[in-house]
Amino acid sequence: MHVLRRLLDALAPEGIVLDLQVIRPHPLVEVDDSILCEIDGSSLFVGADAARAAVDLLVAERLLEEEAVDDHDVRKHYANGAALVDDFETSERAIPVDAIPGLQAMDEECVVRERCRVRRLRQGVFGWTAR
Amino acid sequence: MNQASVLDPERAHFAALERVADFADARVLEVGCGDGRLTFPVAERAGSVFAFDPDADAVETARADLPSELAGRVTFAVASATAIEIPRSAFDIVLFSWSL
Repeated sequence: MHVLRRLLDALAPEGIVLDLQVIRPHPLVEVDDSILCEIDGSSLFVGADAARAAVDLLVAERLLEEEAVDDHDVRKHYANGAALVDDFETSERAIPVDAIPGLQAMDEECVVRERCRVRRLRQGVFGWTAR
Repeated sequence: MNQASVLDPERAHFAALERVADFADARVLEVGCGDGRLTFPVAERAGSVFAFDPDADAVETARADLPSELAGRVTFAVASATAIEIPRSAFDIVLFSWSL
């Protein structure tokens, strides 16, 4: 059983689910609001797409009803380019190889900006009458 | 910046959560709480928060960083979502923080 379906039991009648996920486009590295390069976020999108599909299935079954969606940008700030490169050494996501030397030499603060989505879903009638 | 990196100092994630949900006095279950980055602002509004994550180190950090004024409202646990025993119908909000 998918974790979402399992944890729906924890919801009080008419309770809500909030699901935070990363969404496309790929994250961007920015310096002073200028785009330096794009990071391949495909590895995270695989999990996010699967999560969205699981939620969509429960919506189709009317166990959940989608009520609201909020897309927003989230930023991770780095003291300099080297700190950013270090952080991504252990990440599933990869900085473009040709951008690494420039980042390593960058003393300025830089930012990774990525798009995220929160969905609000309310337990549908079929969700709690089926208990 | 004193630290090498800081995630979401603008609190964009929590602002987004507040735009779509009213946490006032709510009983919140947070799935995948990590180091508590979202747990704390949620707990400032909510009636109670039960937050768990399979990463024991992250949960330990969350416990250590929990502001004392929130201590009575937040319970942390180390557990996976596939194994944890959760009481039925006990929460008004279930928050999945990148954990589905």
